[in-house]
Amino acid sequence: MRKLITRNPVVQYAVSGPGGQPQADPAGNRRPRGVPSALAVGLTFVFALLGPVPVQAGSVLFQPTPASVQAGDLFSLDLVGQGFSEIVDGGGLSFSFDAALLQVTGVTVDTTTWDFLADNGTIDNATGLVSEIQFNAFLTTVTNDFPIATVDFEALAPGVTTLGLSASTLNPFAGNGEAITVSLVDGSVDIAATPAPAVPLLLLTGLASAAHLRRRTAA
Amino acid sequence: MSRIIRDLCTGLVAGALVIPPALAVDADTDGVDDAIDNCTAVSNPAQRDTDGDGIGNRCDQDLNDDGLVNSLDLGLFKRAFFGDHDPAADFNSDGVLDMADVAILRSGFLREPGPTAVALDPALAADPPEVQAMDVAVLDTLAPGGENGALFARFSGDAVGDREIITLIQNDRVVALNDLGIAPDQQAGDGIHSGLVSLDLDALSAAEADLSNRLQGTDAQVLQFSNRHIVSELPFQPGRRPSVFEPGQEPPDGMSLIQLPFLTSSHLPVTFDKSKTLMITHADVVADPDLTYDPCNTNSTGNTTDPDAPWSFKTLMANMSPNPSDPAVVQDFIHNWLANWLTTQTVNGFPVPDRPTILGFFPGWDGVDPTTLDVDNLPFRLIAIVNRMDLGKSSPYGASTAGETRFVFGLLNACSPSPMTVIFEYGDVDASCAGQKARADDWIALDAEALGSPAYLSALKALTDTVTLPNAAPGKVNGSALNQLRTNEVALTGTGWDMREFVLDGGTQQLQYATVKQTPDANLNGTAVTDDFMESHANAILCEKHTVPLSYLSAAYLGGSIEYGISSIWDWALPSGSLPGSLPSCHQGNASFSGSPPTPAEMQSEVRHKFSLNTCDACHAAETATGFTHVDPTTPTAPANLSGFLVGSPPGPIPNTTPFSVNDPAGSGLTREFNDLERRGSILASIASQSCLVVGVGSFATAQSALTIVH
Repeated sequence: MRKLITRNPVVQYAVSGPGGQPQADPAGNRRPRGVPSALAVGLTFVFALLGPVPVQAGSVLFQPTPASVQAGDLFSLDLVGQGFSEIVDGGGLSFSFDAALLQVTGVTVDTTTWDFLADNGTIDNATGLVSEIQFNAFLTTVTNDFPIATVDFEALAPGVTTLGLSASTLNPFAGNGEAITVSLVDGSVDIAATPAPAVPLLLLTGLASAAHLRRRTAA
Repeated sequence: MSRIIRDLCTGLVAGALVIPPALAVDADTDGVDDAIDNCTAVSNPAQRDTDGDGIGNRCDQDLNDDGLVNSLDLGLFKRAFFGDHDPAADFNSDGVLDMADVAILRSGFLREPGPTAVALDPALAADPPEVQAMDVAVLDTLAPGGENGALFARFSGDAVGDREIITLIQNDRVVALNDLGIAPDQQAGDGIHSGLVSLDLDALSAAEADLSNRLQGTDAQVLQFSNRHIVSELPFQPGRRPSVFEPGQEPPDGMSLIQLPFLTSSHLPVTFDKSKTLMITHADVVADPDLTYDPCNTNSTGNTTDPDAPWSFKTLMANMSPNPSDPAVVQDFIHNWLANWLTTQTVNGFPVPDRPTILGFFPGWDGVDPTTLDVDNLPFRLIAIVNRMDLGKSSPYGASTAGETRFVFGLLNACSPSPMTVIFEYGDVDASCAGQKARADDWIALDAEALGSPAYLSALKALTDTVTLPNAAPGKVNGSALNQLRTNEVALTGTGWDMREFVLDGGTQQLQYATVKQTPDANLNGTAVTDDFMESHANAILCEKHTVPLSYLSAAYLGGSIEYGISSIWDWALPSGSLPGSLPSCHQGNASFSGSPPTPAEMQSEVRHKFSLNTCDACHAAETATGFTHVDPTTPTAPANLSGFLVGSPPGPIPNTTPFSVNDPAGSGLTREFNDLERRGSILASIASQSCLVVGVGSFATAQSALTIVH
């Protein structure tokens, strides 16, 4: 896990690709990932139409996790799908968090991927719940690894909070008309206290101030 | 016929439903009265309803019919859009699947389908009305929705009341019959409900011919039943449903009445061999060396070679396990089931005692380590394959359920038959009228083949494969069609017969204890609680439509298991309050009453008996004069002996047509008669003879009445 872009005070993180390797974006922007080649998409879709195939459960998770931030930071995490062997037509998610430590300032479903329905859900910072984020694709073929949404947070206080994912009962993960088994991997955010200024920095600041005052007095 | 009615009908056959302005309430201005509109909020003049669920395509993006439009439906829509072009996905009924349909899908996403006025009514499903009179007419010209016929019916029954709309399933489609004067109904409030229907005239003719053939030469007396009781014996006289039209009255213009197939209010004669079609116990089948496995070769048929044969105990167990292809999973599954007897458990608050003697029947098994269980030599032999299509309910008003197919195994103790049966009770998977009719035809077709012949075995296996194979019922736990697994034994203690029930638990995916149905805990027999239940539910009990609840009077009631003896009955002390003053109309009953209405003592006896008969223990003991098992597991080397309740008199391996008389074990002096295989056969004939095209045609609706509970 490493910082990719820092636009103080917002902290954004690199997103791991397949195999856990960081995917740095030279342009500094997120881009849809996990969209396979046209041939692969076509073959996958044809096989999906032909009938059921052995299914490997994919995972939905926050990236990065655990995330380490400082109290007062504004930061973003990506909600992604990984390792889906089948086509994913969409689904819905909710997640909980410790409202004393975090608040969610925004959810943005990836509309490039989810062209049929992209609902950012309902944020309740009082109870610590973002409910019913919905995402569905019609023309886009979604499989393997894919983005779901970007979630923006503000760290309020030091501590560790779990981002507890739960699947929607209204809109289950599904593909080709069948429910898909999904492994929901809870995220975690570790919020450190804002550090006190370092002693050398304080000394330099003091000396500089003293020198400045001396110059003004001399003048 | 009044002029307005003539105009109505003329308009109908001319291709436009004409609604008298004074009657019409048409919020979506599609020309269809809201009262019969299958999509009331959005205009859909054609009323197209491809899947026949009563919700027009325009309002029905719920392609998997689970009540909500979501990702699952999106996947089916994509399959239709890019692949098979399922017409149900043509929401706007313009003949093509395009982005307009995508937009409609999006507008209905994450919502329930509808609204519709043509929804099935649970009240009618629970209390189906009788059809007193009925006519069917063929339209000269198709109606806008493509219907080619009209149905006119006069109903009766408590649930009908003053309903202006009656919805029902006709030819696997939901249709609305109205008495509002909306075409083709001629006169509002005249008691005749009318609606447009799609008729398969060829199938109607075939049903007529089928029933005629089935009844040829059957002028003998036919046993008539009320639930499981024989109530009379009548000559079979097929008839026709009375017409709704008075003499001299004409049907509407533009349509022609057709003759309906036979209707009979009596039970059909059983013209097939019950040993081949209903209760199959012959060793040429249940000990077939290719299909079954018996580690002891009890019937000397050589069925000792393949523990993985299709009907072996191991295979049936494996197929309902979480992963039939993984031997370790299968071994764990069978071990976990057997281990239920090793500890006392609690079901519905009642203890289900341990019976650790079970360990002794499985040499080498330590009860702890699944690998010590020899699953290739499980000491069970198949003793019967049972057709229970009579347990299904095919109602034109909805809530249809399919019957069951059962496998009865007997326990072996050191290769000797032992008093324990294990019954795999699978739910037949197709509850539709057409599905049940086809399955009944297949069962009856077994009669044409010789027992044990390759053709017979092949046909029977095809029938059982639909419920026994892995993933036979994808929507149920482990994909298994199993409804429940039941045991009845004294082998494990030697002191008291004991009945238990298991179901596949959705969480653990294992067989776990469930309550025994319709049977309170044994300690509640003869108590004020059960007295109260019988008295306050007397009418429902008399009609055998009662349900014994999990709890009653704020305490657990339904039993976790039931231990019983040969004299077991459910008792009822003298009632503290009042009995029904007369028998309810749904009761057909016992001919030995002294008069009508029965005396209070006879009434009490009848309520007590019917409650008791529906319990597990009394049905297997005194109420039916049965010695614990209806299919005897201890008959060595020969077909299992069957109870008199099943086969009539005398009890034994051969079904007959003679009633089996049982004196009231509570000493009322009343006598009841049974021959349940004859009843099941009559219902099987009725299911096979129904047309499915018009409500109530054939005797099915009356014959397959109200066995509302699993027996």
